[in-house]
Amino acid sequence: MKFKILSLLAFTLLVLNSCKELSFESDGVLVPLTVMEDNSIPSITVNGVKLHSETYGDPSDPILIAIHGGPGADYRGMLNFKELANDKMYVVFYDQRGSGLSQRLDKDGYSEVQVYIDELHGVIQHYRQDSMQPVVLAGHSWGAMLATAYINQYPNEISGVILAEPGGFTWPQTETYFENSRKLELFSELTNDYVYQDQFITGSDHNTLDYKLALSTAGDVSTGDIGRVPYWRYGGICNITSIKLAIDNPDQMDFTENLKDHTSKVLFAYSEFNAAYGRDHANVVSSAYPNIELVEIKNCGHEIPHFGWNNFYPAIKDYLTQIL
Amino acid sequence: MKTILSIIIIVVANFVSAQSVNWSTEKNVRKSITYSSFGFDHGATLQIGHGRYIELFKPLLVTADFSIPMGNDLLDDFKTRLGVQIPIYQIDHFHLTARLNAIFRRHETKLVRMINFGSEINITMGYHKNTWHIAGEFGFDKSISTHLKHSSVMVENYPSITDGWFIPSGGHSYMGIQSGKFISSQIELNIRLGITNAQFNDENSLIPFYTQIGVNYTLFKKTK
Repeated sequence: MKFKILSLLAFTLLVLNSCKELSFESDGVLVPLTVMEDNSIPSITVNGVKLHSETYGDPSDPILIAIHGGPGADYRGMLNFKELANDKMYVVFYDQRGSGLSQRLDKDGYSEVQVYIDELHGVIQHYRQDSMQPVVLAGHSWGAMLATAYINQYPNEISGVILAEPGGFTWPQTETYFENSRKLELFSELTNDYVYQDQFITGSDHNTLDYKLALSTAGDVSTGDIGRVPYWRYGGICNITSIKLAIDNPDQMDFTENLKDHTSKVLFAYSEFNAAYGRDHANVVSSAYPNIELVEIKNCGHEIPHFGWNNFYPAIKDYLTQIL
Repeated sequence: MKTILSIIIIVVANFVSAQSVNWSTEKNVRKSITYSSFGFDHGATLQIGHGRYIELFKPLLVTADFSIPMGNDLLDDFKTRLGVQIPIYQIDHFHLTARLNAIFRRHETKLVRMINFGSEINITMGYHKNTWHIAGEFGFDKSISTHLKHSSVMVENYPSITDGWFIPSGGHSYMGIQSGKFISSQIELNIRLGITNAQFNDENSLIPFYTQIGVNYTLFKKTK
């Protein structure tokens, strides 16, 4: 009997030991390589940080900079904007620091909102040929908040801005949106999918935490969209640190002080299906701008640039015709 | 080598335990314990288990339990534990006990299926009277090896994503208090609560605490 048990144990150990052992920390195993590990990925260097960036169109045309959400998401879900290159726009995409395929930084690299504003300023400087070349910002979710933070700091630098469901331009507005869109119900599959994985995987490195952040989206928390928006690689440390920064320093999250000085028209879009947003929240958030064109994008939820593009594009094209 | 070590740990620890047990002086007449609890432990979870008191070099409690988190798909996620609880030292009503568990757990979402082997060690020190006890506990839950199988959603996003066994996976220490009181000769109500902390400098869990309210049903041997 003892011999049988020992034989079974030895066989089990042999089989399991023959399995290849992988590591969460290894590059390229669970998340794609970034610009730091793969030189073939198109990149620019801004403020000492290597950013994944691509452009479409003629560099001398008016610039449109697509600014993705998160913090910690990437621009893959905004690639529909490249269609505007056919409309005489020079379309620029970049993954923010610590996100997508851009360089990862330690927590100190996301210590204040200003680093994102400075980074966007650097991207504009990198691609702008002269000060007369018009620049339009197109931001989604957090990216729309960042676009507004930039305009709040440089009210007269930008010719136009397209905003798709920014959570808010102040922390109370953003908190309200979070509460409406991410209600964690104790007994729901969604909630438990969100927290149960923590007992399987822990980590402090970028590869592990980027992967864990991707897994945490299993519950489709973005309201109103039927499908899943594509992405390259989430930024775990960027996301954790930036949200903690906002919670701990709500004063840094007021982007409204100088918006009254931005008198150009702003295109502000909200989706038909995102019940957490709606016209009421859009009215509250957009009211900080003096000149707003508010549009509802039909047949999509929060991921307007991806799932709502067919209805978003005509509104953008009409808007660009007006401002340029 | 890591795999072998992991498996040895699992095999050696291949017994589980009731979370909160009164080790009062009458333990030698106890026969078995059946327990059930509800609480939050990386999700709202429901647990059932059974244990038997056996006499070897010491009186031991050998247990097995099963827990599932709440949700629409009840069996896509679960945790099973096998273990043993050993009284280490006693002065009057003060008891020091150790618990060693082997863990097998599963988690499945639209993105990935995880299967995990782990182990847990727990030290509890407390004051045990015949009908009630209160104790402090400290433990470490090590996620030793995790197998990942990704869904088509993950593969579409990143075609080179790799399935397989991943080592090491992580771990959490925890620290808290537990207490229990018999409300009848066989039924004991108990409660546990505490905080968790990820190993080394790892990021903590999204909700870094645990809490559990349970019922133990104890069978006693007939004595002359």
